[in-house]
Formats: sequence, C-alpha cells, structure tokens
Amino acid sequence: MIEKEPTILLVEDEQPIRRFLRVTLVSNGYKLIEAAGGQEGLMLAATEKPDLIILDLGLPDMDGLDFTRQLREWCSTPVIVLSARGQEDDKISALDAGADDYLTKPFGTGELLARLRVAFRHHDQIKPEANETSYSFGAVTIDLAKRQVFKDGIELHLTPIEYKLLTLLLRHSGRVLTHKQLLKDVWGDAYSDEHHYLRVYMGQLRHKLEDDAARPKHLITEPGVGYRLRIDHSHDD
Amino acid sequence: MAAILVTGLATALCSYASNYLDHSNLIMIYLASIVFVATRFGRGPSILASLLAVGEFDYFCVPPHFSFVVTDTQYFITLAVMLIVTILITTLTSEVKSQVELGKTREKRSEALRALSTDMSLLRGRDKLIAAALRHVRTFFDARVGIYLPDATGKLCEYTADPGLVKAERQPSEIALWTFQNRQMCGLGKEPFASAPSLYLPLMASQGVMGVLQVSPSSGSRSTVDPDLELLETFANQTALCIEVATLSECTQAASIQIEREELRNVLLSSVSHDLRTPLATITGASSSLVEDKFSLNESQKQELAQVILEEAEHLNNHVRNLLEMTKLESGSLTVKKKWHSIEETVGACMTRLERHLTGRQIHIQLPLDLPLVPFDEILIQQVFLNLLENAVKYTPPGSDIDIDAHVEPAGKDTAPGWIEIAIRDRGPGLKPGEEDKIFVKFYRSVATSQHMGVGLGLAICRAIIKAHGGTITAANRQGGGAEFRIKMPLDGMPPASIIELGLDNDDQAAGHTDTALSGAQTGTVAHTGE
Repeated sequence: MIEKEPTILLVEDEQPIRRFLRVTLVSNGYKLIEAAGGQEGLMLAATEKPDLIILDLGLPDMDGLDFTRQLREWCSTPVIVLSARGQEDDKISALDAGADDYLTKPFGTGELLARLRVAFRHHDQIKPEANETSYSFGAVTIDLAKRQVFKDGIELHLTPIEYKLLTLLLRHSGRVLTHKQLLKDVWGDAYSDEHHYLRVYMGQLRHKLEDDAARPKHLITEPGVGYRLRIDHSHDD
Repeated sequence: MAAILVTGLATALCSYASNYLDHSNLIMIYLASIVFVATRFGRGPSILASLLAVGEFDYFCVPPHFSFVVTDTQYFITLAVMLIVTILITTLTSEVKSQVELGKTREKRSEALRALSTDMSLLRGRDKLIAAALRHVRTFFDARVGIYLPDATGKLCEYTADPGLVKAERQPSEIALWTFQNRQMCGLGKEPFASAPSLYLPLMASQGVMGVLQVSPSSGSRSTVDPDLELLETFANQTALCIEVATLSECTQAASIQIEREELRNVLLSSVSHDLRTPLATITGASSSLVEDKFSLNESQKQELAQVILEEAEHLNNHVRNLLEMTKLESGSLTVKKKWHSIEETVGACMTRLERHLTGRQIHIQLPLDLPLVPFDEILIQQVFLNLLENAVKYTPPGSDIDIDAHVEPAGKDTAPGWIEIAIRDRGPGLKPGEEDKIFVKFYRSVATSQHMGVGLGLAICRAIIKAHGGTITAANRQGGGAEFRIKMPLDGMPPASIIELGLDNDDQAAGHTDTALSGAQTGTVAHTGE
C-alpha cells in the first residue's frame, strides 16, 4: 500500500478497548498513537499528523460532533467513529460533520480492518473517476465516460436520478453515506429531510442492479444512518 | 287579600241571585268559595274567608238587609252552622294539602338519595365517587361544598373545594380538624364554631371517620339546611362508606401490583443471572485456557476456543441488547420515530445483518412489487424482524425453510389501503396449544424450548414495538407444521406525494425513462429465493 507504515490515532477513554485495538492494529501493520480524551486527541492530531483517526463517541470531555467539527477546520484526515447502541443521533451528526465512517460496538476485527482499508483508499485517491472510467461490482459494470450501466453485459436503463445516486455511492464505495448527504447531493439542500425519496430510488436501483432486491449484496442499507455501496463482498462485512 | 276578594265576589253573586234563589242555595255558593280559598291559599286565609263569609251573608242576605242585626232567631242557627261548617272545611282541606306537600318533600329527598346511591354504585375510584357525592350535595342544598381527607401520613388536608369556599372562612382547616377529631357536626350556628358560615359534618364509616364534609349554603343561613339536615347526614354517611370501600380496594390493588412486581423481579433476576452468567462462564473458561495452556493446545483447539468466545460474546450482546430495549420500552423513554419506509429494504437490511446465521437456510421472500411505503420506525421494526428471524433460526432444525411475505389489506369498504400484513413462517416444531399468546409475555419460555438460551424477552419486545406502532402481532401454528408470526401495521396518514408529481425528474421524459414511485404499473409478485 504505502511504504511507511500508516499511523493511526486512537481517541478512546476505555482502557480495555484501547488495549484490544492496540494489539489488533499493531499486528496488522499499523503504527498506533493513543489519546484518552478529546482535547489530547486534537493536540496529537496536530502534532503527530496521523493518517487516520479512530474516535470514540463516548468521550468524557468532548462529544464526537465537536471533535469532528474542530478537526475539520484544519485537517482532512479520515475519521472513523466508534459508537455504542443508543448513540445513533451522535453518530449521524458526526458523519454529517465530516467523519468518514462508523463502527458500532461491539465490532469484530474483520469489520474494523475493512473500514480502515476503505478509508485509506479514499484518502489516497480523492477522485477515483479522474483515473478510471470503468468500475464493476458483481455482475454490474459502470462506464462513467459513456454514462452507461451494464448488468451481465446488457445495458440497463437508469433514470438520471438513479444514475446520479449510483455514481455518488460509487465515488464513496465502501463508505457509508448518510441520508442527508445523499439527499443534498442528488436532490439539493431543500430536500435533505425527504427520506422517502431515497427509499423509493434505492428500491428501484436494487431491482435493476441486484440479483435479489430483498437480499442486496451491494446496495446495503445502514438502518437509521444511510446507505453503503459494497463493492468487494468478501472483505466488507 | 285573596280571601276578601273571593268572598266579596261570592257576596256580589249572592246579592244578585237572592231574588231568584232561596237562602240555602246562597250558603252553598259561600261554601264553594271557602273550599276554593282553602285549597289554594291555606289555613289562615281560609279562616278569614269563613268569618267574612258568615258576616257578609248576615249583612247582605239575612233580613233586615244591610245590617248585622238578626231578627229571625232561625237565622242564628243558620249562621252558627255555617260558621262551624266553613271552619271544618278549612281545617280538613288545609290538612290534606299539607299532607300532599310533605309527601312531595319526602319524594324529593328519596329521589336525591336514590340518585346518589345509583351514582355511588356505578362509579369506580375514589376521585369519581367524591366528585359525584359533592355534586349531589351542591345541587340539592344549593351550597358550595368541600371535602377534607387524611393524606398518606394521616394529616387532614383539603381534598377538593368549590371556588370561593375557602376565602369565606377564617380557618376552615382548623374547624375541619375539630370535626374530624371530635366526630361531631359544627359551624353555621353550632358551637364551638357557631360563627362559621359553613356546616362541617364528619364522614362516618364502619372503620371510623373518613374525612370531613364542608357545606356552605348560598343563603348563608342555617334555615335552608335545617329541614333536610337528616338527609345531609345520610348523604355524608353514604359518601363516607363509598370512600372507605374505594380506599380499601385501592389498597388491595396496590398490594397485588406490588406482589406481581416482586415476582417479576425475581423471574428477571433468575433468568438474567442465568443467561448472563452462562456465556460469561464460557468466555472466562475458554479465554483462561488460551492464556494459561497456550503450549499444550494445538492450533485447531485454540481456534475452537476462540470461536466459542466469539459466539458467547455475541449471545451476551444479544441479551444485554434485549434487556436494554425492554427497559427503554417500559420506562417510556423510547420514542417511535415513524417515517415512510420500504418493507423490502428493511427485510433486506436484516438479511445482510443475519448473513452468517442464515447460511444453509432457504429463505423465501415474497413481496409484491407494488407494496407501498409504510410508516414505521426503521430501527425498531428491524429489531422486530431480527428477533423473529433469530427465533426461527434458533427453534427450527438446520436447513428447514423460512418464508417471509407481505401484503396490503384494504380497510373495509374504503378503497384506500388500510393495513400492511407481514408474515414470517417456519417449519419447526410449532407452538403448543394455548401457547399462542403466552409466548409474547415477558420471561415466558416455552417448555419445548427451555434448553435454548434467551431471557424470553425477544417476543415481548416485538409485541411492545408493534403495539407502539398501533399494530398487532400474533402467533399461530402453520398448516403443514411450523409456526407463523403475523404482524399487522396500519397504513395511517397520507403516503408521501409521488415524486413524479413534484417534477423532480422531469428530464426523464426526454430520455425515455421515467422515475416512478416503485412503479405502480408493475404488479404481481416476484419470488426471491436465497442461497
């Protein structure tokens, strides 16, 4: 991937979680810096310039939203938030404020490493479509230059909104996009609360792209949060 | 006045008629007028009328006319008999009249009592009984009323009072307390608080004094209460008895709730401690093996221990999740955030989530293409589906089928959609007869399933969530074997406007494709069969 081992800043007040993540991340080839609070985390983010930040939402001195906002004022380092059940609103506001992805506790190592890979990939190549014009997942191929979508080699007819939605998810493939982010980008600011548009269009997209719309393999729903395009089925959980 | 007028009229008639009629008939006219006065105006006026009648008869009709002098001695007898007869008529008539009036008063009282006891027997709960009793006293006695009852600590407090009642008094609570302690009526002219403008009555019941009734007649004087004082006391006693009964039944109810709660707590403690400790014991054991026996274990053994730890941790996580969910549901801190969602999408999210657990299972999902969006809370309904599917996986043999389908049920004659019904069916052992409803009760665990883990909360949570959505969830045995869970949720509210109508995607027409809201043109069912 990158020659130097990537540095991860872990902002987490719970000692056992830090311990478990330290072992897991170091054994997987990452360098780890730890902070037990938000203020310390922000300071370390400035001095150590990590490649990625893992942020716990239950910090005693700062909430995730404030941390993300302050961080995003001067730095675009990818942020993955760790949330417990019942912190849905915090999670969504952190994502809307610029966090890149989330994991709900308890989570498995497989999930964590998959999220890290996705975050690093997006950070390394900010505009994938500038380099490549063709993408594929499952039986679906998307030609961005010609604005064509194929399934099993047969061209699909997508409406402009379906196409816009699909390319947006593709640009962020593997990452969660919140309802608000999707609605704003596809329909515009005024529609950021019209969640049912997304239900309808995601349903249509699934019927066109998935083998079985009721058991999606790629257009994944993150209940209460948003959607995620899963390109590599074996790695992402 | 009336007596003078009526006898005057009779005299006028007689003096006119005296030319044609003899004296005995003239006397009859006077008698008729006396009877009239006696029935209409009572005793006093009729006696006056009697005297006047005799005088006037003597003056106008008895010769010599226009003089009280009686020349014929026969007329002495006539006049004397006339006087006696008129007074007799007067007395008898007014007696009958007062009897009738007394009867009417009695009837009014017994009617008031009957209305009170009807209310008392129909109403339940202390507050309602007291309100009804006060209403009766207020209307019957035209008074402002209030009631004092002892609180939980036994201190006498004002329970309720009509507006303006308290201000009129100097120290109503002090008087009420005296009444309560001495169990005697006082106030409104009765010592020791004779100057108080209200009457205070103790509410006496079988177990002693229950409280104090305060009655302040709007006339401000005792005279309006006195005739019906006995009735007022009966009212007070009846009210006291009702308060006593209501208080006793409230105590019994509270006690039984307390017992139920304690039983529930015991069941909770035992199942929670069992269901949390078992996985914890397994995790502790397996991980300590990994730490301590690391040289004697081979790779596959280590792998197995790690696998056990992972699985048990997942179980533990599920238990804790269910417990938290139940606590939230019960404390009412869980709010249902209804939005328009697609059943297909929520089922799909469950499939993604349960991917690993569902391997080797045939899941048949049959959802009509024209299924509308349904108003529900995505997270909560997903929880319901997850619990039902996890149960289906847990209680049925590996490899057996699970079926999910949904359809819309129109509401009655209306053409608008009324309900959505979603069914999850399995081919497991099914339910025992009579168990169909019990399985939704908290901590209930089917005898057939007792070897399985779980605190018996999953289905109780499902029912609570569906209920919070205004729907129902029922279980039944399925034809051909297996269990069947049916969820019904209302399609209330206006479905969101079609996106076409909003003109958001109007450039589609040119491209030849149209964005439609889950195209209504496509009907029929698509079968999704997995794995």
